[in-house]
Amino acid sequence: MEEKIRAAVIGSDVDALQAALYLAQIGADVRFITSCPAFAFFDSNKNDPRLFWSAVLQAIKHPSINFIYNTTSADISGTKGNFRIKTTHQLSYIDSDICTGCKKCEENCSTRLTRLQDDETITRTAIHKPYPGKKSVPSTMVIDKNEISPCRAACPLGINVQGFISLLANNKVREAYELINMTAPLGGILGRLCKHPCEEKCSRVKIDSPVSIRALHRYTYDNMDATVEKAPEADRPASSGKVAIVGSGPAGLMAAWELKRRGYEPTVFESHGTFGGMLATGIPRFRLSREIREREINKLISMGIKIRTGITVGRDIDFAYLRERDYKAFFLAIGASRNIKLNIPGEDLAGVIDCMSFLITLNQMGETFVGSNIVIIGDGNTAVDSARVAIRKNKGSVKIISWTVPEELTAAGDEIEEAFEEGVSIEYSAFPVEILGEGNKVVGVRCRRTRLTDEVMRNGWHKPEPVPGTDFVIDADHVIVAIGQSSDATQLNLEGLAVEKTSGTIKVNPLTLETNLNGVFAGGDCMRGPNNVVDAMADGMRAAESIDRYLAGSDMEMGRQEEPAKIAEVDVNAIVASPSKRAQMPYLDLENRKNTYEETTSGFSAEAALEEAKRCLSCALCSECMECVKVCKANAIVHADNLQSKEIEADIILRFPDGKICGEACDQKSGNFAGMEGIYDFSFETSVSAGDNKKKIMAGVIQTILDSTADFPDMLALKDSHQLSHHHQHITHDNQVDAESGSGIFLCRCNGENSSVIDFERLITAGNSKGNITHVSVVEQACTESGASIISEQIKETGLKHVIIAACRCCNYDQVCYSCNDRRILLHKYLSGNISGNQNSNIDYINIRELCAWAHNNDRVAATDKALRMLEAAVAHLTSTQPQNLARYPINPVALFIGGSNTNKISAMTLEVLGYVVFHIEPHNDLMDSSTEAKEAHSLAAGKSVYKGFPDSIKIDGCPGNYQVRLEYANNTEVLNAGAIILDSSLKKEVLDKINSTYLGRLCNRIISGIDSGSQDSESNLNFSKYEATLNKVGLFINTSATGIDEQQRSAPGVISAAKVLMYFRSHWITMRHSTAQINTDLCRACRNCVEQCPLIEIQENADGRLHSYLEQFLCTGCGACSAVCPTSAIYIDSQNNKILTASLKSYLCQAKI
Amino acid sequence: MTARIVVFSCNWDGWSCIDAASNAGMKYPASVNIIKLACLSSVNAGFILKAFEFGADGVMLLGCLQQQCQYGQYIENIEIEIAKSKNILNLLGVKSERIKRLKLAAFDGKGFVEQLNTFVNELVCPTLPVKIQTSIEKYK
Repeated sequence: MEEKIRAAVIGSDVDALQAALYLAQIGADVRFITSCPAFAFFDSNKNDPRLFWSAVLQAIKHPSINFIYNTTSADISGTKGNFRIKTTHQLSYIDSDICTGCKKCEENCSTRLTRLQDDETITRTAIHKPYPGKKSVPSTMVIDKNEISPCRAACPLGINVQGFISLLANNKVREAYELINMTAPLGGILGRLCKHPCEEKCSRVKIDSPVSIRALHRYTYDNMDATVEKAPEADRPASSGKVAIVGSGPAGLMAAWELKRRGYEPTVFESHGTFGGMLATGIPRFRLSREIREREINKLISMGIKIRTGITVGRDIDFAYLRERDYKAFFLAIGASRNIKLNIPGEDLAGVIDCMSFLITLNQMGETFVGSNIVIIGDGNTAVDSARVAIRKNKGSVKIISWTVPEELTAAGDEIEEAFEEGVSIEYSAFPVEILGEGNKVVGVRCRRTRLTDEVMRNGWHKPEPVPGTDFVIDADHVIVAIGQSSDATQLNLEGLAVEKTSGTIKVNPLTLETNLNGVFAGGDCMRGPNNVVDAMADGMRAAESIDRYLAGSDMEMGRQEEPAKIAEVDVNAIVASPSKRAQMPYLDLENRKNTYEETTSGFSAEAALEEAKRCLSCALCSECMECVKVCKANAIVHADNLQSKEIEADIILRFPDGKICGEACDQKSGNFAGMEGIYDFSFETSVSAGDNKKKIMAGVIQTILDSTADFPDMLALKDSHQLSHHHQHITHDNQVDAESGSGIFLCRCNGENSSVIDFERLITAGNSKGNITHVSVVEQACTESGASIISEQIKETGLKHVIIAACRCCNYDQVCYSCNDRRILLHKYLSGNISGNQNSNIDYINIRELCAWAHNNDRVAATDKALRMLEAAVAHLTSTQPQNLARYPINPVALFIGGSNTNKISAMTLEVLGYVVFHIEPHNDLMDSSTEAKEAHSLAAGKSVYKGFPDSIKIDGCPGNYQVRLEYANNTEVLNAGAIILDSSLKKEVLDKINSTYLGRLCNRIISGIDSGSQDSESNLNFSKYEATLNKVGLFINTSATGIDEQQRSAPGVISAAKVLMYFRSHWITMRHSTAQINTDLCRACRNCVEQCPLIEIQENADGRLHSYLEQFLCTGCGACSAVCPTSAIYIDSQNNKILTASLKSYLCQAKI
Repeated sequence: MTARIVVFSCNWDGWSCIDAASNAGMKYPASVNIIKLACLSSVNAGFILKAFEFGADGVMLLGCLQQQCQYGQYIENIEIEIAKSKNILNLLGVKSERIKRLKLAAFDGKGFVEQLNTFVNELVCPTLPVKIQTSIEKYK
């Protein structure tokens, strides 16, 4: 196997595409690196769109060109033959090999980005076409993403905040619920009690005020229907094992939920009679009602999590007992409920109570507490809660004593606001030193004023210190102590458990939450001290991960080191968002609130929630709400895609100016590689000589590629000459369906895009009702390898001879029209790859996607009717097609050069070096051109060339691909066989004079005569430039002598010419077009109508002396003008013959309703 | 009532307009049937009249602008065939407005849909004389 040279083409314009195509055709393996996500036509690239799309589509169709989209080349290292291109890959998160661009994802995208771009307000979805409103190839979508949104990064649980808010902004409450539930349960609780660090980080602050995230979290959970949801199963193989969790607070419940999801059997042990830990005992009912708490926790129970209440681990059962019962791991989440004492005189007086006992009494027993003058010592959330509970039971005053200033209170601001409204007052900067009593009764609290010191405490506030001599007394008949709680791990009776001495919290490894005991983990308040519900839950989640690793025996720490998340920065100036007020949480009115233990807030209305959700600025752009993944039937969306850069190897590199597709500047680093061997830079400024320069550089590239293949000349030549043993073939496509052979219909759903508009049931019924259709089936997506193999297997099984594929393709030809697209090319590529041999021609395509599903998606019935008519027409064609005769000829890889200009010399030499046999005939004995390089070329190659004298007469006969050239000299006649004839244009006259027209004679004469004129200057001469490409296809090449300022420029046309001949040799066969006109000479009356239409048709005389039209079929381009004017239908194009067109018209217009 | 239309379109610029219209999500009546040919020059009066015989309300011939033909300058041919067809239609008492010739630049989806919709609206106009009715029944 010969090894192909690897060429990297960096660029995105037409020139780059054409160069890539050129290199691929002469045998290079091309990597096309473009910074664009796809190709689209913009007026700014000043080309003909037809030329542009032809280049794009042909390049995409070529098997040796590999496209690397979205990629900028950052650096090039190495040398010729061994370059390494470092690239940066912009992620598009879509697999462009399978994405059909159906835009279902776009319809379902919940993120609308309104941005200012060039003073224009543009609103678009996060997932979108690379160039909205324009055709792009490949037909893929792209997703705009930024780094992680600040709210999501701030959430200890990592809830996708932006995701659920974007769903709410689209009124998708259930989807929002499911999205949150992917990460964490207990949303009804979090939506009420979370300290919402997300809101602190919200970018909306830069415009007005943060989005009310917590309230929206609550709205989501409160507005789900009451059915208990099963938590989603974790995306991993299920595990098993029993885990004991001590404590049913937020940490314990979260750990249980996560472990259950991962397949374990967690059991939660709770010492109280009700579950919820602090949620049940410490949080007053007006902040979290019993109904909500039970609703949320019951969801966990319904998942199969066991909660055993009334069991105190350490007292009722011990760890040994649990171990015996197969519990393999333990999570301690016992919270912190032991009250910290003031340790001041008078603390044991009647009327002094600690806040935990106070709250439990009220929450659990609802017992009343009497007093008229209550003082609460402490300023945390528990203190404020206690105060608010007290004021509901008390007609007198409730006063909080805080040791610090208003700005540095520990409790949450909104809670304090509510407490104030309800009548609670706060005495700031007061430090209690003694509780005064009369007898056994409290009468007041003696306090001392404080001032702030510079010392900063753990929570970030300044530590106050009492100022001596500032004592004062606050009257009180009851005192509630709420200066904090600590954990009491001793109750666990767990021998050897390491505990912090001062705070009593359990010591853990902060990364894994492992205690010093094997298999025992701890988290929540018993590990951190009194804290928030969300941090406790985060501990539970972390502990579950650790327990999972512990039980699975995997590394406890690997990959868990926390790296600071990259936060999405938002440029508020680029965002179009008018200031809008943050939605206010509706409160019960004050009078009602004060007298009730029911919730004081009622939650957002649907309208308020919608408006509030719309305030989100979508910092991360795509919110990863996963709605697109749900609707993508092709599974083309990969949100987790993280391939950032790769290295591309290449032997040579072609650089083109980049960033021209969309007119935007691209980030292509343009280092100066000029003059470096192996790097060909086309990115120079446009100037007069640019065209010549390009040609020169291109010749260099070609020479390099040809040089690289020169190592294997014999093999190449051998391979080529082998084929000579075959004579030309007639490929007969028996398109006519005989009685026994079955025909089938395959309907492509296009992942639902077709089937959502077109009623497939009706198509299937219609297909089955046709007598000659034996098989009808539906495929999900035909334009993938798997889709094609499904189709081909069914064809094999059922023995179908003819297949109609209703998908997006229009024809079964190999040609590339400029309105084609990548899906159609792939469809044909995979199918023709799967369906072997000549069966290929027995596939008929109808385009129900663009013509029905797209154009008429507003009218399903009409779209289906149209699809039915098209199907009907396709079925009718089965019986209307004629057997088609397409001939193909092998190419004899021998070149005959007529004339010796420098171009011909260099071209000939290049081919000789590659091992091809080359003949020369020259009118003069000397070389016509005496330039140095031509002479050099001549001497180099002289040994391998065969020189012949210039004959008196030349007769060209034989068949295309293997011409028989008779050289008649005065004394003798020589016959050469050559597949390619390369003529020097300056010899046109000499040669034309001598060519005796037997084969191609007149036609060639007429074409060659048109070389100089460039246009059709007389009736007999044809426009040469128009036919040059066609002539090349049959092995006839015309070279002109090259001029130029330097040697390289003069030799460039020769190299390029050699490449053309090589491309021709390497195609091995000359094959007719499908659309070639056919002539039935029996019907032809030689009326000359067709001759007037087409210069390629001539009147000839057959053996019987009868005149008829003759067409050189290899030159026919298949327009069909001849067939339109033929009065006897003697001349026709097979694919659009009278029968087919009539059948189409009949199907479209006369079809009875199905 | 929607008019039944046959559009004969060439495979190149004509087809690119139809494809561009679909790509841009433009809408036209589903009663429009498109027959794609290599070049409009392969259409003769026979096909145009055949469409009317089968009950078409109108025939549109969509091709490239002057000098843009993929195959060369053969395009004059179609104009002769259209003239022939119009003459015959006139003889049969059918208004020649039922034939519409449209030349568009490549990828002009908007032009195609606009002109097509105008054509369809003209055809459903009650003042336009009847189409050929006689022969339809035998095919139904």
